[in-house]
Amino acid sequence: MLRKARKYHKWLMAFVGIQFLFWSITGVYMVTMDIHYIHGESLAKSEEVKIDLASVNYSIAKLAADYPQASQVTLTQSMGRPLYSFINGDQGKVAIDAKTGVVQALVDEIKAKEIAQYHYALNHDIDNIRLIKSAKNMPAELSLRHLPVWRVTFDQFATPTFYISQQTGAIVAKRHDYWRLFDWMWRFHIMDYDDGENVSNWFLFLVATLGLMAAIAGAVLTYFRVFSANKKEII
Amino acid sequence: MRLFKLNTSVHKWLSLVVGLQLLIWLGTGLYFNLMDHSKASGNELRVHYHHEGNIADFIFTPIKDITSEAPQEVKLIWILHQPYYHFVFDKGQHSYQERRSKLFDAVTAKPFNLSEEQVLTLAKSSYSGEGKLTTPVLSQPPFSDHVRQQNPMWQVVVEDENNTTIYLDSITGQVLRHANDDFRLKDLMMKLHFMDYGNSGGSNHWLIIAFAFATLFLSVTGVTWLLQEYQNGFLRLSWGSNRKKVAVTFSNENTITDISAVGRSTVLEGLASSHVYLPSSCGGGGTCGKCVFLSSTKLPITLSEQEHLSDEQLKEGYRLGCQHRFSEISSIEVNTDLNIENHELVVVATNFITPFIKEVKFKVKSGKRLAFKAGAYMQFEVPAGMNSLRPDDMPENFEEYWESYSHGRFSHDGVTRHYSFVNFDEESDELTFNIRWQTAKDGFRAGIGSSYLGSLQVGETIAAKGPFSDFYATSNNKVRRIFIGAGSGLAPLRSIIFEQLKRHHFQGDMILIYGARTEDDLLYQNELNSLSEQHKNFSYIPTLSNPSEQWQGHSGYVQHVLLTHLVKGIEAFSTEFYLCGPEAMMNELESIIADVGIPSNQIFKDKFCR
Repeated sequence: MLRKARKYHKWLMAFVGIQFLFWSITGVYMVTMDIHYIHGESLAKSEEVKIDLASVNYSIAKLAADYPQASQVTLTQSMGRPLYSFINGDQGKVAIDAKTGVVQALVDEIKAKEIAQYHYALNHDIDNIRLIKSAKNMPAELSLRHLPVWRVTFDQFATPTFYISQQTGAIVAKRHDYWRLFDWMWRFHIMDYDDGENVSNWFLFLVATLGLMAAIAGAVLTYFRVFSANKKEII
Repeated sequence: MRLFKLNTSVHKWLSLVVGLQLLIWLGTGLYFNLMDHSKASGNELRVHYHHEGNIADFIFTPIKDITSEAPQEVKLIWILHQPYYHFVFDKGQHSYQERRSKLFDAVTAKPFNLSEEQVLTLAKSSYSGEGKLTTPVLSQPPFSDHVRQQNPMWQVVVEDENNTTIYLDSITGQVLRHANDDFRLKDLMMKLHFMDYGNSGGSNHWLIIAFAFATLFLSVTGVTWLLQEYQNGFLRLSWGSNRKKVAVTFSNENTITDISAVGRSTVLEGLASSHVYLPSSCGGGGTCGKCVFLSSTKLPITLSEQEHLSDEQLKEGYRLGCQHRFSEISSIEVNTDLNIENHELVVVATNFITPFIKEVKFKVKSGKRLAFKAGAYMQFEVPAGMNSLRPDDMPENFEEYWESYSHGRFSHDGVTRHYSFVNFDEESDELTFNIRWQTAKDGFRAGIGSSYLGSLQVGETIAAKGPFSDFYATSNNKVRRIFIGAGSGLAPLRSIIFEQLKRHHFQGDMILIYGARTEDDLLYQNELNSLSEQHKNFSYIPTLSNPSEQWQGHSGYVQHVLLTHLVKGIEAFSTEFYLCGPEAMMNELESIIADVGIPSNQIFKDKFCR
């Protein structure tokens, strides 16, 4: 029994042992890194500004008249001004000044920089800014539904990055290298070296099954070694 | 350098600490890999129903006219096709974090609270199953179905097979979650995988961090160990199943036996496959240092051996059975008890092949095939009883030799007797022995063993232990071998010669000098003649002490024939001698051989009468 367990443990681990190393390295990273930090929550100042209701002169009634197809209407205070954002039928996202009803122009580079710096919680210069309009130029770290966006990176070693909606000026995603590393760790953890989305891949199944068998053999070894180590001979 | 031991014992103790959780991780990981994602989400019976109305159909109160403290965010939401303003005063980054908010009717501007009936309608419209929905209950956190949720929720229990519960936002009535047994199973698996035994709802807690580091060390020590195994050659893939036979001396009993095992197995495993168990409490991990054996040849020293054996022991040739392959060793000594098996042999054929020698063939009753080195012997257990003084089934033509021996029977108390195999193990599945009937010199008692074995009939059985071996060919393949035997002493020599020629395709010169009394007494005469015709490197020289007048071969004793050979000159350091016959004959032969300068370690004797 003991010798068999030893043999199976060794040979199975010879094939899947390296993945145990990957699992534990990636596991350590994923549990030690605070998930909120990974999500970049520390990169942006938390906005707790109250809406200046008195200045909301453009009423919902007007909005309903001007945009009869509007849905998901939300009123927020953005950079000192009240702002409606909503989906206008096929046109997609629209933002209008809640004071005047003027449609907010598409965010240009200067405005994007201004928004980025306004929200950035740390103190670094903007390193790079570019507009992403099509999925072709979009990094995999962003969801397609956010397009078009400004991608603003800051000059810091972890490459903090804000994605700012060109239409509403809202920060739709925050990324930094810790997030990117986390993403890779996740891929290695679930062994989906393809796109990192599929936990149900056969490779993981194979290695996890063999790994489970190897671990059970290891448990048998531990049991005998620890709890009956002094018996003369265990076969 | 105690690094090996440190590494392996850290591995062992860490495995004790994290082992159970590691199994849980693997098991739950497999569950995630195999689970049905749509079921596990709990949303199998959930449908999305749109409650939106047409914005143009309503007369809205301006938001600025609502009497309320200043909100962070106002959303125009729809509940059952009616518009409401959702004022959010405080909220966190995530929806489960504590939130303070309020609803106002977007037309009347009055504060609005959902009624139980409305919540029930909302819940119903999200559920496509057959189950009956019970009255909604506004519940406070914590929720076992939503550990992280810090806000109150409406809870609607559905009476269905899957124990669905529908959770809705306490303010807006938005359906937040369908929890059912599939969902709860996944939730439990998550909890186990994230070690969230304290219901933190996350995976960033000290328990899992501690376990993750311990597991990391477990993996690192494991991989290190594997690398050491690789360096020691124990991780090479070899699918061959070539067996190797090794002479094992049991120092406790001072016996030697042959053990055959797959060459790529370790010495520990190889011996165990023949039921010889070296002591071991780690099962071959190189961590207990108990499976010691003494090797006759010099073997490399592994890290584990450096740590478990003293320098003196290593120098003397002591090694660990788990650290070397069976193919590396040729003969070893072990300090364990010989556990040679007992077999029940059944007679399958008997035949007088000379006037006094009966060839008896056996098979192992259990059907097992014995592995042994040519030259090996079995120990027969002869039970107490009555034996015949002379055989009852002798062919007529040998009758003349037996005229002077009387008929009759005698009783005895049983004995053990050793007989060498005539054949080698792969020659056939039969075990062949030559039984020389020890005649009754005094007229009262014949040889107990020989008369018992010689009287066995086909189908009868006898208990035997073995095989044992202390007489076998060396593994040298560039030597000349001279075999000298007399009478039934041919048996082990025939076995070795056949094994060398038929199995090992030995290319060196082999000479068999075989002495008997008369032509009738020559064993396997035809077989040996044709063997020498087939193999140029084998010569067969029979010699008779009492030949008939027709005999054209050598006359006289084997000693004389040997002398005529030695006179021709011999390469002293590349000739081996294998002797089997009466003690006196062997002693005489040995002194003749030693006189011409043959080292004693090239002379091998099989004791004729054991």
